[in-house]
Amino acid sequence: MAKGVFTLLCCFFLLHLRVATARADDAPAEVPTKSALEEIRARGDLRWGNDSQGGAPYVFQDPMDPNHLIGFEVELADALAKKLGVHARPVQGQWDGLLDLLARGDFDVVINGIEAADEKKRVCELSRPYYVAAERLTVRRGDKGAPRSLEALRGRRVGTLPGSLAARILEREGALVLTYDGGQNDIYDDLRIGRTDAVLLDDPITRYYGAIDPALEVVDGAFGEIQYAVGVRKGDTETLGAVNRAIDQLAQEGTLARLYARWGLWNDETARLLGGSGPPKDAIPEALESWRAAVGKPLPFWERVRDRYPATLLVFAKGAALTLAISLASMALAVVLGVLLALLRVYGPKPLRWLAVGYIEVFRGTPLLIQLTMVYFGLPELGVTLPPFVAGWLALGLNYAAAEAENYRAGLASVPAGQLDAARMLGLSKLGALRHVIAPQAMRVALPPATNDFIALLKDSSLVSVVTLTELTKSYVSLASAMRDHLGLGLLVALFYLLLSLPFARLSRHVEDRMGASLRRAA
Amino acid sequence: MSIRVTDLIKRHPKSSAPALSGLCMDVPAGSVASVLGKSGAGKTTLLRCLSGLDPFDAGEIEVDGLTITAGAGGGDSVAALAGRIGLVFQSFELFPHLTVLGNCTLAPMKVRKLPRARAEARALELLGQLGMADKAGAYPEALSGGQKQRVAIARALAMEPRVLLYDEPTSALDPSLKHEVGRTLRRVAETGVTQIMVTHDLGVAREASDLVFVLDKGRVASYGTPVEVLDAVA
Repeated sequence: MAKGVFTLLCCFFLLHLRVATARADDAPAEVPTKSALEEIRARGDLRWGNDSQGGAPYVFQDPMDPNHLIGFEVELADALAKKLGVHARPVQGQWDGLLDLLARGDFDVVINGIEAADEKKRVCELSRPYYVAAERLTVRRGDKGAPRSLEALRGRRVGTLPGSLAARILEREGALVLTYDGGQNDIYDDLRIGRTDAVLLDDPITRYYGAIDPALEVVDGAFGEIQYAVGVRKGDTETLGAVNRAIDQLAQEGTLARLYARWGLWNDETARLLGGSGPPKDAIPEALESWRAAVGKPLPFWERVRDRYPATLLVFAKGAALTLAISLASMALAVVLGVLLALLRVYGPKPLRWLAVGYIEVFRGTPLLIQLTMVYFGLPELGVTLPPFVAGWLALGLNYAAAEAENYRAGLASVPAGQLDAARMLGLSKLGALRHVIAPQAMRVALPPATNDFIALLKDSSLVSVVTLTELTKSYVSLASAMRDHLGLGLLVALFYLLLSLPFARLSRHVEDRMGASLRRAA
Repeated sequence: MSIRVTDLIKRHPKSSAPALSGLCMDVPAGSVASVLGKSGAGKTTLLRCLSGLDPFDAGEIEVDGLTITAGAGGGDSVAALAGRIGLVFQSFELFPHLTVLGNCTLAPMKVRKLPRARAEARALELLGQLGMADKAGAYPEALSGGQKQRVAIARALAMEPRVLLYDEPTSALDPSLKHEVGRTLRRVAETGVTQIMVTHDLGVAREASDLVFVLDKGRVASYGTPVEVLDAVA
């Protein structure tokens, strides 16, 4: 039997390897015969990477209708794609991982406030800048001791985004830098409630998050200057050239000026950068106005529930569907692999037993996030580029297989040794004894912890948002940030998670009841 | 001759003295034999070797014309013996997830490949003979010790063994039920099945057996009819 199990395991891994390499062959990044730009044109869409989480005015979900992505960079991407003769297709990723995802081939370009800095050129190509912004300092209104100059920041607690120019300026000035992954909202919330003394961020963010809050005050003057550029995959000079030409044309035509003016972002520095003509003098920043109207003053709870939440349901439902799909697929993998590992560990010959123990300890003893990152970003270094869903499924499944194996081992260990002897004495083979006598009894013990693990997996699946998958948690964080509503939407997303997990808890109890009927009848 | 043991030697890896040191015994077909002896005399080891669950180091065991020699691993001999030898465990080892009927039909269906209807009819017949037909739908947890034992016997008999082994058949029972065991053994003996029980219980040995073997230090110290052997001991 051990031999059979071993063969099965081998087949399993070979199969994966074959799938993996097949996928790698399909990936456009790996095909040398066609250039990246030709690929884009053949596909008919420009995949551009961004993080909608807290991304106003860059890229964010419309607070009035979160099913739509809006922002000045959404319009910029649309305009750029049009110049290339294709459609723009936004792809989500974590902001500080966007350039890694670009290198991996998850999208063709990154348009999301990427700073045009020389150090970035080590990992990607940068287009000519399309926007210039000042760094702005925001403090609490009426705070007498608030820092109002760069020198005054030394030793103070200042919030900003990780990996930003602002963060580097703050570090240089000796401030205590607090960086936030959650989104711009949180940064200003912490300033308002006093966890930090100031916030240093790019002007567009300051306008959309800091300036609209009456409790906060934007300090006059620029504390640095940042230029945004489009990130293009390293070595892809052809796409880079096309993007540069498109930006030039958009600047000449005045398209960019009108676009920035609509978002209330036009400034002298950008005028100097782009040349060409500025926006009409009477241009109205209508996009900024509607943002103010949407989030400036929080609506009362019931009005939010009535007017805003129905539109979020579709976004949540999509996230929930992905969460459920990846959880079910991962659990299936975890169960199959877990059974094999448990059998190897309990009944296998020594070397395989050690292998199973090693697998379990390694996967149980290291963080899931690291495993996922290695599968998604690490394997491409070995030529295996997995699609996001497959990578997420594999990482979750491989990780939970270790937990499942231990559950099943506990179940197997709970069956008295005499049961196997009794089955053997009746002439059942070892496999037959396992199947008809040992396994049913082991299941009874293993089912409750296995159910527990499935519910844990359902929640851990939120980690796949680092590989561009917009599941339920990511949907919530993005929505909460776009609508500036963490509490109400938090309750809503909690409800979705419960809707997902409760049926499984019930199902498990039902099966347990059926299996445990004899035990209770005796009691 | 239904069962013949010749010069059986069995060593446990960690002890110096062998558990069985050249044990010989003959048990005629259809008879009931009791194996007595102090703790450590080798009774349980003999039982596990006879059943094929454990291998032995030297000698041979002949069961109903089939000879098993030393070195055959537990796995191999238990497979070869399956069906010829049944064992009623001290703790019965009924399958808790199956009903009484399920316990008695599992092996006939999975090993003998009998259709369910035939396996169930045969099981109900055996359970009926042992007075357990009305418990066919019950789970083992709901049974008393004596009832469990009768189910364990029925489960073993369902495979139509030529030899049935018992490990301490009276140890888990109330004293008042001990006579039942003797009666059950005699009833099974009428069907021609050879029975060997390992026991401490001189009462049941005297009452139910045709032959008594007394083990000491891994070999047969004395044997004969209960009257011959037990009166000599007393």
